[in-house]
Amino acid sequence: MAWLGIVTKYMAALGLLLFSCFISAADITLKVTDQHGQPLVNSVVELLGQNNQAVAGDLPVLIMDQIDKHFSPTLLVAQQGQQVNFPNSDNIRHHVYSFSKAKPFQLKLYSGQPEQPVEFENDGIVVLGCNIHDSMVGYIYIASSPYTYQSDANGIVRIEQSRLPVKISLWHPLQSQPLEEKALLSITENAVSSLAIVIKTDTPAPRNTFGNKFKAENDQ
Amino acid sequence: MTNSLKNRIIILCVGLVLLTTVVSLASFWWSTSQFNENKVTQDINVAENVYKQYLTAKESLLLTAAKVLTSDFGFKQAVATRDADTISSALYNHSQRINADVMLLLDLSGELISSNQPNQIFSNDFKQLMTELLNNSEQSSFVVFDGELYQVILLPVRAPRTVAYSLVGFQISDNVAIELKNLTGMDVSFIAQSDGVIRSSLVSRPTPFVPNSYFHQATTSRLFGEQPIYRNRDLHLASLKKHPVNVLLSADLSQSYSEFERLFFTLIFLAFLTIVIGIITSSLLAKNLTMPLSQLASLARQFARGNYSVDAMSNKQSNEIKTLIDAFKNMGNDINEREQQISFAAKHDSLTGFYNRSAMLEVLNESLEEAQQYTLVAIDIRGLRHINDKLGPRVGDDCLKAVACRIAEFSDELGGFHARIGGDEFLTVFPTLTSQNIKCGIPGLMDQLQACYTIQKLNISLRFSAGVVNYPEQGQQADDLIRRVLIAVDSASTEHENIHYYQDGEDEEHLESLRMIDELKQAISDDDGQLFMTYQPKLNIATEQIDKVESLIRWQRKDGSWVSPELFIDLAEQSGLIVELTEWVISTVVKQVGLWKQNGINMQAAINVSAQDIAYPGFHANLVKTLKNHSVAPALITIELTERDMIENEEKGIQALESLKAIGVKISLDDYGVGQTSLGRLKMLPIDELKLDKCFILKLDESKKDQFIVESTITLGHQLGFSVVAEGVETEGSLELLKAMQCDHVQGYYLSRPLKTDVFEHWLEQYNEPA
Repeated sequence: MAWLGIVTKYMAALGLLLFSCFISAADITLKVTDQHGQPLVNSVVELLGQNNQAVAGDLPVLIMDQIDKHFSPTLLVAQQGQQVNFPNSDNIRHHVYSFSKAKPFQLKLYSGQPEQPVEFENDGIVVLGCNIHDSMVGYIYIASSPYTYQSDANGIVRIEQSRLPVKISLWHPLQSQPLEEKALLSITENAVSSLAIVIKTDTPAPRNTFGNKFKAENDQ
Repeated sequence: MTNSLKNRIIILCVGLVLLTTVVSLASFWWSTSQFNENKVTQDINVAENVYKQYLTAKESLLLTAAKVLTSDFGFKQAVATRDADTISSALYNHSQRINADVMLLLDLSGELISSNQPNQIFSNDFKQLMTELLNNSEQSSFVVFDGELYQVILLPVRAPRTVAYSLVGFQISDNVAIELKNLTGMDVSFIAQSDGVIRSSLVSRPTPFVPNSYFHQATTSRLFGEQPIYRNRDLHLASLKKHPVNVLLSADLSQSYSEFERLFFTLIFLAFLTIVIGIITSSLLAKNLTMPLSQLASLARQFARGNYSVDAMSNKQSNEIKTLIDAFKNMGNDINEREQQISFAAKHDSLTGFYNRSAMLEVLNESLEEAQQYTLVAIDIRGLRHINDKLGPRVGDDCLKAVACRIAEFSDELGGFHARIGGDEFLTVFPTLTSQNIKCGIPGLMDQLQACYTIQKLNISLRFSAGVVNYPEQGQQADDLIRRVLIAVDSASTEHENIHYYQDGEDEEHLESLRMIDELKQAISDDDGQLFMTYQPKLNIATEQIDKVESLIRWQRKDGSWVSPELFIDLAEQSGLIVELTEWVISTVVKQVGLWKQNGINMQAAINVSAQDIAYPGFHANLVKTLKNHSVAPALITIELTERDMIENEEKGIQALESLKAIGVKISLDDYGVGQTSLGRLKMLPIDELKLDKCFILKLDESKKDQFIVESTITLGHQLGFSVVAEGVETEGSLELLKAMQCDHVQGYYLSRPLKTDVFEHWLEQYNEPA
């Protein structure tokens, strides 16, 4: 398994690996997988150096709902300056907070619609939590570029041919690298139409509670 | 002594007790050791569990504390702000809340962000520490910070993603170890070998204190030698790879040693007590068992002495012993009964119940001590043998009983006693009849006895002979009296008297005969010249030669007195000595004939034998053997047998004579003419020679009648084929007459009297000279 170790190291250094597959006349398809070859949903691909055509005021208010003690969606991609509303669809209260540099805030115990949507002025990653429900984790990716894509269930992201050549950044909530870091990649005009990208991830440890611990001890 | 039953029982009992004790001691030793071993092991296991529980509880407390800390929103907020002072104060605050001794906050890369004691400087490599602790997530580990041992736990601070790690720990001090010791009763030592940190419950420590070597090597001097004080168990604690921490549990064994020794001494004491009790009880048991045995032994000795009375013995005996004593009593009674039977049988005649001869002797001896006159009467049934032969022994026995009955009747009346002293002889003894005439009493008895008997429907008349002896006149001693009364009854029998009163001197005669028999016996066996043969020549009238002799035995006793041949031959016949005497005669004569023959004297010798001799089975064989030994022709020997003898034992006698004749021995019929030989019988006899009795010859020349008898007998003899010998020729006239009558041989004093060998030989020489 020595070779795998070497490859893994390499991937960790680069953040991703490219494999040329076949030439397509139209768009470039990125297929994002983890190190085990599993497609990665919710990978975020941001095209850098593009013109920002849309202004903040025009941006719609996004919804980060809370359903069944989960953030829905788990990952929300927002434009810099875009507002996000945090409605509570559960019949219990939540205390949504963020200690992330991009936007620290808290919405203290509330139910239903909060008074105001939260505006995310800075780009970056915002990790959302609920103070009274430790298991709730949500992410808001605040992109500086309007050309930001989120991989689908098959880990597929399409980039128009016309955008080439382009620099992209790659990010995934579970990436092994520090959360704020993004992997950068350049795609040339001559690039093959399909690229396979591997992002090394960590499986998130289950959020232990005291109960778990005691239960585990009692079982002994 | 060691062989006695008592000692054996004691030895057995004590041996059993000893064996039991030793075995139980050994098994006690083994099981106690095992028990102690198990107990110590169990104690250590318990201690281990307690220790684990304790640490787990601590760990749980730590975990709780750490979780409370890391889950605190304010704390999270403080961490998120990275405000070092705030964080430090928060950590301090929390450490106070849960009594944690150390609380650190590390960032994701393992850098120390803050601690509850802001001024403390840690020399540890937290990155390494964090990496290792994260591997055992949510489990406590033992680490050393600045020379102090801590149980710590590392937990992430999530907001909600992990933003930092919080390390919370309790210090493990000596007090913790002491607390654990109080819980478990064992010394607990925490050893961080690589950091040189030791926390132990042992208060008084040696210097330098190295728990591993101290607890393993400490010994105490006990009853059974140097024993280790501690039993140890070394357990590895969760710790850093390069900084291992162990805990050493040491069970103090002193207490169990003491308990074991106390138990051991108790058991030894009990064992001695048991042995003592065993000795005492087994002595008692042995005594109980052997006492009746020795009593029985003395009882048996008493039986042996003939005392069969049994004293009552103690009733406290066991059933078996009682049975044995009863058996002994019964045995004594049975033996007594049987002894009486046997002694009765030994003293009495089984048929008549009378005393037997030997008992009579005893009884008589006892009775004669009294100053009383007694009459002894011996009664012989005459001809009882004929009754036995003709009517059967049962009738004979019944006759004896009937006779005994009458004798008893008679003597009982007189207060006497009686015995059966032979097959057909009785003896009765009674006080002498003083008032009456004795001779009247005894004939009266004889009359009673001779009255007719009715035995098994037969009328039988019996005849009796009686001998009478008087005590004390005719004898003092019982055996003398009995012998004399028997002599008297013998005399009565032989003289066909009815009653013979013993005459003084008869006994001496009888004794003389006995002595003579003894001497004769001696003389035969010694052959010392007391007995010798004489030879009387017989003249052959035809040849005028002496060619025959008659051999005649003579006995001159050592004292020089002569015993007549009739007397001693009679004695020899009575005593059965005749067989040996005849053998001696034959041997001597045959030898002499052999000698003569060697000397050129051809002499036929005649030997006188009795019918008893001829009937004796060995006679013939002995004669043949003797003839052969001396190389003497059988024809040189003539056997002379009297007419009477030959007739009395006719059948057997003739058979024996014929077998003698068959080997060539001549047979002569002696004393012919005075007996009862009919002519008819004479012709049947296997004889060679007739010997005319001397009564016809002595006065032959004077008696015409004798001359007729002799002449006709000679003629008869010749005509029957016999040669004829005349004996008792004493005158020349007789000789001339016999010559004229053509007698074959003559013998008599006219020729010569019987002569000893040397004299005869001399005489023969002289006789032959003039011829």
